[in-house]
This record gives sequence, C-alpha cells and structure tokens, in this order.
Amino acid sequence: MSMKRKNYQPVQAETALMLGFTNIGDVSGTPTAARTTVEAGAPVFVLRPEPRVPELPLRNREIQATSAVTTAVANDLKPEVVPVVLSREYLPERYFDVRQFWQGTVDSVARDGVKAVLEDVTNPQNSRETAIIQWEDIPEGDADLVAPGAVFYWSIGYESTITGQRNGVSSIRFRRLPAWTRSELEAAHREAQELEQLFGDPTSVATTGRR
Amino acid sequence: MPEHRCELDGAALVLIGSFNPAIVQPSWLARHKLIRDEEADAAEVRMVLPQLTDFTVAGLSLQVTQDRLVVTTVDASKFQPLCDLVIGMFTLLEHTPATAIGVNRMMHFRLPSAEKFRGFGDMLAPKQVWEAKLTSPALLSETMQGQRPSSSSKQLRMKIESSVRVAPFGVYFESNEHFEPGGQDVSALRRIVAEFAMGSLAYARDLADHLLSQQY
Repeated sequence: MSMKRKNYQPVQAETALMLGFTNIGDVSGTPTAARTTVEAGAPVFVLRPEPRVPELPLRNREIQATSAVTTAVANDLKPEVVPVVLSREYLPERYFDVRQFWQGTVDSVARDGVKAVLEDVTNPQNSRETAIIQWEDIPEGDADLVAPGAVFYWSIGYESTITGQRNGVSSIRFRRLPAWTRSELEAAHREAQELEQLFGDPTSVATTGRR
Repeated sequence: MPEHRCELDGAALVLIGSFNPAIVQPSWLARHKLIRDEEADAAEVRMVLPQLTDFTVAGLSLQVTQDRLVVTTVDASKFQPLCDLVIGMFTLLEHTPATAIGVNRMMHFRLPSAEKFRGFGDMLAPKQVWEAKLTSPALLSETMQGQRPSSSSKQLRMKIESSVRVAPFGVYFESNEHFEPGGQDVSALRRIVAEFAMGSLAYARDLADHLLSQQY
C-alpha cells in the first residue's frame, strides 16, 4: 500500500472498538491479511486521507476546517479513521509527576559545583534564587555544555510506574540548541543597521544624550 | 489542595509542511548535539522509511511524514526540551517549507466522586433543555474555541471529554492552539515555538484548572 500523500495520527484503541472495529482492518476495502487485533489501552496509529470535513448538507464547514490539521491526538472520535499500524504503548510505563520546575542559568563553574541562577517556572511569582549544583547531579552527557550562560531545566517530582511504585526524582537537563545560522546572523545585522538608521549611532546617544 | 488531580499529562507540537522523514533520525539529532549520544543509542526506532519516520528518544516521540511532523511527550518535565528540539531541528533545516503549527496539550484529570464528575458535565452542558426530549442525556465531548490573550494564534480550541484513560471519574482536556503565521519557510514557525509554545501549554493547564475549580 502506498503511503504517499497520507498521514496518520494516534487514536485510542477504545475508539476503534466504539466504532465497531473489533479487529483492525474491519473496514471495507482493507485486505483481510492486514487485520490485527487491537488490545484495550493500546495506541492505534491510523493512516487515512488528508483530514477533511465530511460532506454533509448544510454543514458549517468552517467550524472544523482550520485547526483540525494541527491537532495531535487522543480522544479522537472521528468515524472515518482506517486503523493500519499498531505500535507504541499509550499509557507510559513510567510517568513523571512534576512538582517543581526551575529554569537555571549557569553563572560560574568551579571544581566543587556549578553556581546558577534559578527561575521558578512552577511559581513564577517567586523571586530568583542562586544555588550551587553539585557535579554529580549533572548528567555526564551534558557535562560539555556546562559553561557560564548555559541554560538548564531542573525538575523535581515523583516517577510512578504502572505497577504503582512511586519514587522521588530530581532531573537536570541542559538546553541544546544549535548555533545561530548564517541567515539569522545576517537578519540580526540587517535589523541592527535599520535601528541604527532610525535612531542614530547608539554610542553617540550614550555619550552625548542626543537622539 | 485542589480536588482534581492530573494523572496523565502530555504535549505535542504538530507542524504542517513539506518534510523529508528519512533525515530525521536519532543519530542525526545526536550528531547535531540536539540530544545526548547515549540517548540516541537508546532510542526506540519503530520505523524509518522515505515516507515515514517514527521513533522515541529522550522521552520525546517523533513521527514524521512528508506533510506532517509531530513531536510528542507524556512527560511534563520534557515540555521545554520538546520545544527546544523543534527549534533546533528547524534551525538546522531552516529552508523547510512549513505553513502551520499546532501547540497541543493533553491532560487526563481524575475527579473525586461520581457526583463531582456528573456535576462538572452539567456545568459545561446543562441537561434540562435535553431532558424534555432525551432520556439520560450525557455529555461526551465539548469543544470551545476562542483566543488566548496576547497570543498571535489563529485560535485556541479546548476539547473536554470523558477520559478513556483515567477511570473512574476521569475528564480529558485537549487544547490546540493553531498558528498560521504566513510565509513559506519554517523560520516563522520556529519563532512561534520560541515565543508562544510554552505559554500556550501553561495556559491550557490554567484553563483546565480554572474550569475544574468552579462550583459544581
């Protein structure tokens, strides 16, 4: 089956069952050989034609026409789905219940740890704090990113497993973004030139107070 | 303490454009330092085809087809890394044609009792008007559309349904904030991710908390 010009999105297995598909492939035109049993709770990836509004008379098409294409997911009750591929688990084996989340910026790096300024993302009204992060709390794979100005995310919470076990977890992850591209640097340079033309030389403003 | 509890929480960025699925692989992400090397080694790759790539790496699931790219996580501590990954990928692939992006959050809350569960549905959709004609009316799904203040999106939709993941008394919220910034390449969408995505995800949670905290 050609997948060109098709897209897919996960729906719930229960949805497929609600729609009367006791077996994946119980849809007219789908070869019997392609049938796969749906396990309750399992995710279903579907391949289907471009999202489209069913052609019903007097339908308010505009209501559903726009954001349907960028909607991701999960309790999708649309009846035109044609389930084809089953894959990953939908209920995660481990679930991280985040209780506290900070965004940190490295201030300085020393042998005994990393001094950082923390912004409380969970409670943004809280003021910034300074903390020393021990090296052993920083993942080895991120060690080469640790430098003054580097941004990291620090989450504290509980990790729950599907068996009901809960463990306290602290997790640090450094931000990974590629360097500025040539076109971004050129765009920034152009913008700086436009601002300079508009407001004059910023150096002279600073030293003379003139505009 | 709020009476409602979010038991499953996920986010997804969905980009519409013209993509090359075969490029986007864990090794490519690691080579450009967007993920750790050991995360690439541990990636769960389900499919890599010219038409479709599907894998999970570093707690993020990526599905790429020729016209749609979806990055998802069910780990709330990965929302910002999810946005960073999308920004990073499309900094590298800066001339990718792309026209729209959706910022999605999916939350399954558990309410404390059947009474609260029914009351919440009644608050969203009062049943009196239905009961004259329909026996035992029950709300399955409701979608509200509006604008998030100070956002440049086309609109935000919040869908509320009975959860089929969290039972009993589970309520599912799915937000979709849809952006169509104009332009043909991905740079405008990348700026949207940088400026609005985390705000959109936080707003979705605020909106759900606001509704669940009402009297019902």
